Amino acid sequence: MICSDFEKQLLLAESGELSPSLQTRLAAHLAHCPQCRAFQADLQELSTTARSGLADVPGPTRGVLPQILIAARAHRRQQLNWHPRVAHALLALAAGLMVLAGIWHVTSLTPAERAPTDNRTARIAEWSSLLAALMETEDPANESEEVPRAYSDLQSLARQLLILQDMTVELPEDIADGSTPTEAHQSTTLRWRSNRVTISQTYG
Amino acid sequence: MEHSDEDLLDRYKSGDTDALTLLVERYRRQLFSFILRMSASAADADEIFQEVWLRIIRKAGSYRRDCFRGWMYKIAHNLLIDHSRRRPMTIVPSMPGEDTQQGFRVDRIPARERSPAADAQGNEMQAVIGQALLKLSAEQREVFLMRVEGDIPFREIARAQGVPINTALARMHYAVCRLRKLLHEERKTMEE
Repeated sequence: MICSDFEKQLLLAESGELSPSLQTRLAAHLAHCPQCRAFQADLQELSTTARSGLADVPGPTRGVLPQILIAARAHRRQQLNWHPRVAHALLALAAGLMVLAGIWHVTSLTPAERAPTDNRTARIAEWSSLLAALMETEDPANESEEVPRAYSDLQSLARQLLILQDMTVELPEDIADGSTPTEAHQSTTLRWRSNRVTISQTYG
Repeated sequence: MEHSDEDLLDRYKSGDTDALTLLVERYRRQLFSFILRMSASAADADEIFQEVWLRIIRKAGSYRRDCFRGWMYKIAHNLLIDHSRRRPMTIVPSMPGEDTQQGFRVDRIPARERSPAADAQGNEMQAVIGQALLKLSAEQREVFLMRVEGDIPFREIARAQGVPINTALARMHYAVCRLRKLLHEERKTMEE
């Protein structure tokens, strides 16, 4: 390496960008090179003199700084006004995405998957089968704590089925609001007849 | 404890405009001196100085770098180039050995007859340096001012000028060598 290379390393050392290993090498060179030491001394003098002159720089014209600060405040206000608009736009975007996701979900179902929900008859058959299966279970009246819930579920299922078949059923208030069945309710019978269910209610 | 530039900018981004005031005040002289020495007139310097801060305000949200000063000087550098393209220019030829292959045209920015720092000060040596700086090419002058007055690391200077770090280093080396020569001549004259 020649002296001009070390002088460039001196510049890097002065800016704190010289690696420790190169600093060691540079120090070794400076120890026996008066020319590079003179460069180092002049660099320091130039830097000190130039920096001290900064204090005498007049700075921008009066009025420039207030204009910058006015612009900064105006920009902040503009940003604050901008945020609600972005929020609304994001909400609209989210709603749109949900609609698209719904459409995608429906169209991605196979015909077999879609049929039961689209086909009312199929749904009635499905519910009726389930109800029939429940009817075949043992009389819940003897099953202590499980009775109220099982009975209530059965009632609910029967009601859904009736609604699907455009039928209505009027239940006593204490059943309708899901309360514990009484003995009178136990007389409600459900009969399964070829995929159709009718409920004959005999309330006390 | 003094807040770092980056902290102040973050505070401004969070809505604290006083933080920006501190930042502007911190670099008022330093940045203005740089722009003034690189531009044609005090009026131009005012305009460019203001535009630098307006750009900082507008782009603060997307600022991600770790050296605010480097970013600020890069904005100033770009605006000086834009400014020189809009105005009739006095061509300041590059020095022998100076590279111009990057299409970098700051060397076309006209130099002022005498720097305002030199006008304002009584220190003869400062005046000599101010005058000597005008004899450098714009690229060399810019590197010298960024490094010495701005205390910008060479890595950031290179980024601001869009050149490899070795080019920025070579420009600084050339500037220092030339200024040293002028200083020695001045010392001789003063001694005589």
